Amino acid sequence: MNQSTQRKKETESRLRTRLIVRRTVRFASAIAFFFVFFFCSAALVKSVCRLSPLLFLTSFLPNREISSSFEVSLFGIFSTLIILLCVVRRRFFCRYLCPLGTAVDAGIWFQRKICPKRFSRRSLLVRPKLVFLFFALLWTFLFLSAAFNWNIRKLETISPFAYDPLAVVSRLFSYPLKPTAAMILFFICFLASPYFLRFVFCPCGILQDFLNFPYRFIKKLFSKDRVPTVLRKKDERRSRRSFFATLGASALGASLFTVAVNFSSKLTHSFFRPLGARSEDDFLVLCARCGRCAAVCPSNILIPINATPTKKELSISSAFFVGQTPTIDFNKGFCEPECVACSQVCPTGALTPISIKEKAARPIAIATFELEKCLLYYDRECSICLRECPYEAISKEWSEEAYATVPVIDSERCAGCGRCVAFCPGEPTLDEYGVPIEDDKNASSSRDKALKMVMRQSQNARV
Amino acid sequence: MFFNEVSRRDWFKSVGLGVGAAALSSIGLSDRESKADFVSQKDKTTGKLLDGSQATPCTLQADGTIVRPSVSLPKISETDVLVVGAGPAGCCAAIAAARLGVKVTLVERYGHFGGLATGGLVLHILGHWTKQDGKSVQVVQGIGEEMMQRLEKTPNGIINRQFAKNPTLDAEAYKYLLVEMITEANIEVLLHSWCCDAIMADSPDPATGNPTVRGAVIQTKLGPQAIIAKQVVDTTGDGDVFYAAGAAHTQREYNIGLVSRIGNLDRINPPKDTKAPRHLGDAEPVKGVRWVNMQGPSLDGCDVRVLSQLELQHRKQIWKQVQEVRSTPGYEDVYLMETAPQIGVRITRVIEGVETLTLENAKAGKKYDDCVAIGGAWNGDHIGWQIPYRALLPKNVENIITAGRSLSAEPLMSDVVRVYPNCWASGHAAGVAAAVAAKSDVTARAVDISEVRRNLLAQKAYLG
Repeated sequence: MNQSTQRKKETESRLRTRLIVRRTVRFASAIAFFFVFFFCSAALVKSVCRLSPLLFLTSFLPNREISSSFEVSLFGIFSTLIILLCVVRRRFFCRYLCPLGTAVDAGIWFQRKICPKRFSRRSLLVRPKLVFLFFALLWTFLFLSAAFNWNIRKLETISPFAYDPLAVVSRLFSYPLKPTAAMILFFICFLASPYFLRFVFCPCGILQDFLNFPYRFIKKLFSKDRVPTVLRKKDERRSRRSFFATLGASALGASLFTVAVNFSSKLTHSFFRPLGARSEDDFLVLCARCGRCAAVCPSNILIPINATPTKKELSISSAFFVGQTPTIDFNKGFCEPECVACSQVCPTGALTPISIKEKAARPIAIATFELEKCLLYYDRECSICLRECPYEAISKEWSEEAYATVPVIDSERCAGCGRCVAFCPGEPTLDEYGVPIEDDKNASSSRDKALKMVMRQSQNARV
Repeated sequence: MFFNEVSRRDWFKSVGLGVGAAALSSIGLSDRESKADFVSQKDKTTGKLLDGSQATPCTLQADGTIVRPSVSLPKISETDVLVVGAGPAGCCAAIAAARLGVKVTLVERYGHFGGLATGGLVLHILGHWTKQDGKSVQVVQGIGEEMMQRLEKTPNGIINRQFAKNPTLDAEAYKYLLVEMITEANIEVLLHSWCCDAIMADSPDPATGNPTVRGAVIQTKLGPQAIIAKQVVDTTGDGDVFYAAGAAHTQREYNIGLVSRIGNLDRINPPKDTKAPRHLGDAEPVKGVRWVNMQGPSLDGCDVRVLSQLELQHRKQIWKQVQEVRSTPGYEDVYLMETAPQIGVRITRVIEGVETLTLENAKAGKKYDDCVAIGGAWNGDHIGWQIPYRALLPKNVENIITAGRSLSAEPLMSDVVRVYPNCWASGHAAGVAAAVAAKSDVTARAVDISEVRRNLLAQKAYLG
């Protein structure tokens, strides 16, 4: 046997061992992630989310207050370890831990099984370099803009963190599964070329490439013994279709970004945000759309904007880029006064952790009152909003003009929890005389209520 | 001058001691038995010439002070349980006590029973059922439930009696029913009598050192007259008796409105798409009649100037509202049937009880050892709350039990316990407790709670 065959064999056996190890690890990690997302406490899920190098990096952004509990510090060690491994191993996170990476590779494996010729192992290593460069630059730019608060109005709806693989996976477990435009697009991309998601688009993958680049560069400089030739050999039978599919998907992604950049400035709506939310601009950049806040909300009032009626009023690009951010639907219930869970579980710091004491000082909305929908206006006895307000922000006042008692909302005290709205019997149903019937059994969330939650003036970041 | 020199309590004592000693013959109607003579007088038109020597007027002194003379009062009655105020709470208390076999006297300032439920035309029965673990439970039973059942048999007595709904009764049917039930229970009735003072024992209670109530003075056409009782139940709503007895209480301001009834609503014929006028009120058992509630401004319901001013203002407003209704196409036949004879005072004096009901406790479902009644909220989550006996007892006076809207509760809680199923329940409890105390000859504070609860349950009250 000559030396080269010997070496080749050794390399192959080494690669095979590595493949077995990798498969075992990623299978175990996929199961572990699944278990954590499904069964574990919110704080643990938050820390687990931050195992992603991209999300972990958000804690190094200026002024991101990340609480330093035991769990966080313990996972902080893990996260740092992962980053270090990413430095020395190419795409370590993608290849060993990332559940989405596992899914994508499973997809690639499956495609190769079905159609071995079209999706040969080598053809998959094709990298449309220009498109890759475009995304690499875009994510870098967005990340830097987030880091240094550049506040470029047209770009702030595109958050690099929203496309973090762990955020994407987390989203599947937190929001109710409804096929949204973004999910469908991802799925199409996946079918066309899983490779696109894996190597070209994924901001976390690109970050890992950046992390790994200096190491590889230095290694290349000092090593005469280069990377196995098998992998470096130029591919002769490039799959054209795969190439075009990749290019097409990339072009679609790129054009959508362009559209978004053009249209995002037209986003005129403002939305209720969970507790401790940063200013709307910061929030949109930082929010990974992972839905952890929605998953922990005991009242289930946090939903993605796409699930609200407002969605219809949004432009397609706005719905695409902000549609997965959480908002509060006060028709579903109210924010429990003794709960600050949503602010505590944000892995990126889009929501600042606040205490129950601070809660009243950081209102999420404000209640408004419309007299003609109130039972008091129709001479009924009702004081439910006074009774239910946890902040004693509602009082009754006599209005000589309307000859009725009118609830008055103290904007200083109102924390915007929406409890009054939840309890407001609302515009009454009418009897045969066209007169409201005092019948709270029919009170439903869809009915017009005398009390309504609106944005506070100061909250309104985008008009 | 008089009040400066002699303390209020001393004056009460002198009144109490002097009872039966003087001024009886000149007034004529000294006790219940004299009614018969009154009727048998042959020539009524002639009347009886009085020289005016019976008068004991007050004096305007030179320094401008007005002084009431110290006089002995005639005793009109001596009883076991004196119930002052025959509203929903008072009637329940009187009936409950009488059914336990004690002698009961019921005092009422108007000429009918039912208080705000009849005279005030507040016809809605709000809060007699609650939701417990998702199920509707009727928490106000006992005499209140008996009243509703009997109203059901009365023509035009009650509507919406379906379970887990808020029924509405008719004022006249309820007045009649109460006359029936109170006569059946053999209760001594004194109508057209305002309680104007309390009668205190000459020495404080040996166990607690608190002053002890021994009865009340009622203002009648024949001047003040005394009723001596073992136990007094204050169901005046305004706490007239405990106020006079010097019990600690809070004086609150709350909405005061005037309810009215409109008729001919069965003859309306509005063209299509007409927006119904605003003040059409709610249905009541009588066909074509609706009762129109009113909130009114939050003011002191014990201030006679306030009440007078509001009567004038509200009457103008009601007239205006009805004209508004009449000017709506199709509603021309609607007319103002009546305005309530009694102004709708919601909350005034609230006793400072040994225990105070708070909204927080109610929401948390706090349990009390001495729970004697359960009340409920008529909207929202339909929460229920236990009413402890101690919330009916004043802190610093003996032998007086309050019930109804004046029981010890914080403001937001008073707003929900003031509705009359809650009054029925607390009145029922107060009546039973007073009767048990009178029977066993102990103070209201020292009454055996288990005995009270046993009797309440025997009278079909719901205690959880």
